[in-house]
Amino acid sequence: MIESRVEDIGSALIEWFAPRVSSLGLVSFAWHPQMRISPVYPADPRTQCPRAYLRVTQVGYVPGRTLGCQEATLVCQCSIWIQLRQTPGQQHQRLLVSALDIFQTALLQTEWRLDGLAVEGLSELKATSSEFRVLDELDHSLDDPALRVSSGELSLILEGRLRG
Amino acid sequence: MSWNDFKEALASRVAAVPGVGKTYTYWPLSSDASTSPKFKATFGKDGVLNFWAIQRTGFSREKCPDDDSRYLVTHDIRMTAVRALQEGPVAESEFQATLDAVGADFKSGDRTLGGLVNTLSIPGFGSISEVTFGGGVAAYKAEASFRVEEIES
Repeated sequence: MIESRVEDIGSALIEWFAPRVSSLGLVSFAWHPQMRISPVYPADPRTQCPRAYLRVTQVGYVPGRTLGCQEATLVCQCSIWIQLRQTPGQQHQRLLVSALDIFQTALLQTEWRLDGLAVEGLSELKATSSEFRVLDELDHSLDDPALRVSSGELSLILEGRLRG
Repeated sequence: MSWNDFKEALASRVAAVPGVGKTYTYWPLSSDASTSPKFKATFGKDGVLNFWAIQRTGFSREKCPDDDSRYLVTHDIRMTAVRALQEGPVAESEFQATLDAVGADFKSGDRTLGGLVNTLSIPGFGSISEVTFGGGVAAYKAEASFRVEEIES
């Protein structure tokens, strides 16, 4: 029986990226625990950054071409947010772009194919679009320059085939 | 952590700045201070009325935006500097220099009080006034306000 498996796909996506971005030394890489649409200032940037988190924004299914066949094409829009703590004297924009480059490179090197995701019934998952953007820094309320946070977003549109 | 846990570190930080006199974490001047034989010992430095008082005037606690299990605790701090007024320009210029030095120390120094707090803001001194203390000692007085932030689980 075919089942929607977006939660599994999201978790598998994190597992797929994790070894490919290990050079960033992320403190955490997980599902975004909150529902907010834009990055949130971390409680403690000193211990929580650098971090990345996944946020799924939209999911759709297109029915398979053969009626009666337990098959659908999945289209999933999601983002990976990256947050780095800034310290005075650093080139903050360059560091953030460099971090986003590491994520983008992982996709480029596999030609956007996300093979090997351990999700039952899922095949041929690929990214049909991947773009990143650099956002405004998040300032600390007491304006401590060592506690500013750089945020960036890698937006992905994933497409794959799901079978029952 | 609480005010009692970091107030002494804050006082030590201020007291280490050259020119700062005796430093207290409460307002040390009682109504009978002027008649106390210990007045100079309590409030003076090198024979001159010169003391600093660091007091908490309030605090607030709110949830961290990305973590419901942690709270940001903000302490509002008032720092009062008092130094005896003396004939000539030296006393005033010394007082002004001390205020500058304390401000500079907060600007460029460690904002975590050795890891006791998350951060603090840079004090800004308001207007400087002339007041009378302890049986008629004219003195300069300046106040600064700033905030100290902690993260509480």
